[in-house]
This record gives sequence, structure tokens and C-alpha cells, in this order.
Amino acid sequence: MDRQLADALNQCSSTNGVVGMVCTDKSGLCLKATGGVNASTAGYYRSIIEKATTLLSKNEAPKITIETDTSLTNLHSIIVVRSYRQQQNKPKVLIYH
Amino acid sequence: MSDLNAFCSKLINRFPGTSVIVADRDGFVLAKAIDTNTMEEKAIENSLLSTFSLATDQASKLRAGKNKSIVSYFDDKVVFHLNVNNVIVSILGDSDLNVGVLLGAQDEIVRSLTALSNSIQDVHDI
Repeated sequence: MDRQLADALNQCSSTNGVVGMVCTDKSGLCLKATGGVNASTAGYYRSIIEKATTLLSKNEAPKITIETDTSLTNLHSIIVVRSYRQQQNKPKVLIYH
Repeated sequence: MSDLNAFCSKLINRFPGTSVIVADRDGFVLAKAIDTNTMEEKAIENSLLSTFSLATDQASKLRAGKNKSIVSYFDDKVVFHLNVNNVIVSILGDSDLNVGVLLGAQDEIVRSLTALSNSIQDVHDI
């Protein structure tokens, strides 16, 4: 039933530098998690997306980047992608659309 | 009990739009915090709490280990029950509640209430 989703996530996960991915539904429940991303974090990512959506107009879906000194996490609608980060930097959150 | 009420208040601040009830396995309410903007206090019945106690016992017989939690989806609300041995935490929210956040935080809530659960067990053993 989730073959298409699994194939899509596996294909994206094979991209160089991607540590893991997680896909969530509207309730923050984890549909699929791959690699080094813990499934229990799906709800928190969903909460960040919901809060960011309040900053934008109703029809816009935010794209969010969370940078830490070791990783870069991109949130887009229901997909979260975490990859390695080369530079040393303080954690910051960027929201853009 | 005031510490327990404060704990419930912290929980509803952490999960906006929710109401929290801490009860023992017989459905006796130990503490609660109700978000009056989203929930009426009379909507929470004692039978809701004791019914979960039966449901979790039955769920533990499914040969998948001890039941930790049950999420129930209704037309107008979502109810998340967490089993901490002798204590039951019930979190109620609207139908669009972010359940994933509750599932992610359940281990933390269990750790916070383990001491209370153990003290209730001690009382039962007397």
C-alpha cells in the first residue's frame, strides 16, 4: 500500500549527503521514516510547519530550513529531509516561501 | 496534589488546545487541567477514564506486549490515553490535534509520573 511512498523516499534518500527523511500526515503521525531520522520526531516537525503556516497567507505552504552545527534539516509540507552540514555555525531556523 | 495540578497545567501549556486528566485505574481523578476555550468540563466523564482501564487490559492480551497508549478518534475530538501502570493520563483535544507530538512526548510523561504510580502501588499493597 505504501510502496510508492517507500520508493520515492528511498530514491531521495540515495541523494549524496542525505542522512534521513521522514514523511508525516496532518496529525503529525509518521507515515515513513528512513535513515537516521527518528520516527518520534514527526510530530515536532509537523508542529513547526503548522506554526510557520500561521506567518503566511492561508494558501501558502512554507519551506523551512533548520541549520545546526552538524546538520541541515529541510521541511517542506509533509516531507522532512536531513543532510550533513560542512560549516560550523550556531543553530538557526529559516522560513521562506 | 497541587504539584500534580501544576504538572497538568504545564502539559496544556506545552500542548495548546488540550485538556489533561490524571486518574488512577479505577477512574478516580487525581488532578486535571481543562482548556475552557476548547473543552467543557462536563464533557469529561468518570466512565471515560475507567473504560480505558478495561481497554488497556484487553489490549495487553494481544500478545504484543504491555499496552502503552491508545489514541481514539471521534467526530468532534481526539482522546489520547497513556498507561503509566497504576496511573492513567488522558489528553483530550480537537479533531485536528497534533497527535504525533503527544506520541513523541509519551516517554517523558511516563518518566514524570512513574514515582506517583509506584506510590499508588505501595498503597494498594498495604
